[in-house]
Amino acid sequence: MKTDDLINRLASDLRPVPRGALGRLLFFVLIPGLALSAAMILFGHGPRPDLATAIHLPAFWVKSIYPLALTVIGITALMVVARPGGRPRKAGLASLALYLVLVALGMWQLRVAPAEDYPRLIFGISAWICPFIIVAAALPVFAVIVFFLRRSAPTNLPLAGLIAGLVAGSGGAWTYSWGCIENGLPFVALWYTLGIALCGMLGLTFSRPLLRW
Amino acid sequence: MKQLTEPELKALMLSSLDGNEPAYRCLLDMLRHLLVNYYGRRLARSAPADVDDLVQDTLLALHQRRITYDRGRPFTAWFFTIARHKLVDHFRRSGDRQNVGMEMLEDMADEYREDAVSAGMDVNRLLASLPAWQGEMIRQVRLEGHSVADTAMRSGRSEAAVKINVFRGIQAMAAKLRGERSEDG
Repeated sequence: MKTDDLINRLASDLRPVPRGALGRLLFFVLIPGLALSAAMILFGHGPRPDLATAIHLPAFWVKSIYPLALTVIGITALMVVARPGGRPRKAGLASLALYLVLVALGMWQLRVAPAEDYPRLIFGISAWICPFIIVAAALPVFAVIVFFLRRSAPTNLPLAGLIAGLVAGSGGAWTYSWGCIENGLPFVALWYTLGIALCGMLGLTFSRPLLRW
Repeated sequence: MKQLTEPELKALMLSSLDGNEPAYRCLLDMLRHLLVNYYGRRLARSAPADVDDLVQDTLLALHQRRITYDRGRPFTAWFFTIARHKLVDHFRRSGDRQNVGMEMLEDMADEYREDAVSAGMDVNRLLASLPAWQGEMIRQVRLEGHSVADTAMRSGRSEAAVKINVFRGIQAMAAKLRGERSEDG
């Protein structure tokens, strides 16, 4: 096709782009993604049976707020990496700081707990399956983030894929925190983070085929 | 053909984002010529058809991904990051990585990076504060690398006059810049 024809076609296809359109797009795709993830946990796994008492435990809220805060930081990172040349350094540092806070809280929890509680706080009864549930709960979130990134212009595809995976993992971990029965913060620091990291690896692995443009 | 500068291209882009079709048509046409130049210089060995494909591909990417342009930032930096992405992708696809080292790719769009763009805008603004003929002399001798003899011949002045006017003009620009800095501080 000749370039003149292309320019004609593009010009006649022009529609206004409102301010903040990129952020709005991300917001509107994340809602169904997180809703589907929550539905999977709610109906596929079930909410934790002792939810009514658990919501009085600080550990429950730390476990839920950690992945939620990672998700929020991750959304800012997505907004940066979605633009050409974007490198979200601040979000990376913020996530690391958040993780260190969680590790410190976990150490403190171990310090005040009797030694016979250590296996329960570190491995619980679900350590072997927790990361995989998080990956499963992350898949719908990952799908909508890929949809978003395919409409944006990330120029560093591996980085964009990695961030997409990490944010999806954080979102999945957040919905799972409402079904997970563990109360150990070392458990969260290890196995939740492992699940999120697995999602990041998946995103990195498939970044080129999924996001190439 | 007149080359548009960052502020002009950005104004066209902002107007296009608001749905102004003539502005958009003009922008695409300007960018098309910039791109032919940009890819042409970097694909000396390839067929002209490759340049054409890349130009069209980049214009299409601008159209489909214009949602990612941040209105507060320089337009040319955004646009040439996309152009460079398309170029790297082209080399990757054609297995041409031996011919173009990745370090070289890093430098390619340097002239369009944000600092370079705003530095260029500063110089242009300072040059505009001088009499037109003096600004033009400085542009030719100091920015475009013509010899003093060349410039003297073209402007119809003596070499000594060119030297002294370039020198005084730069002094005047430096004084203006210092004045602005102290106002800021």
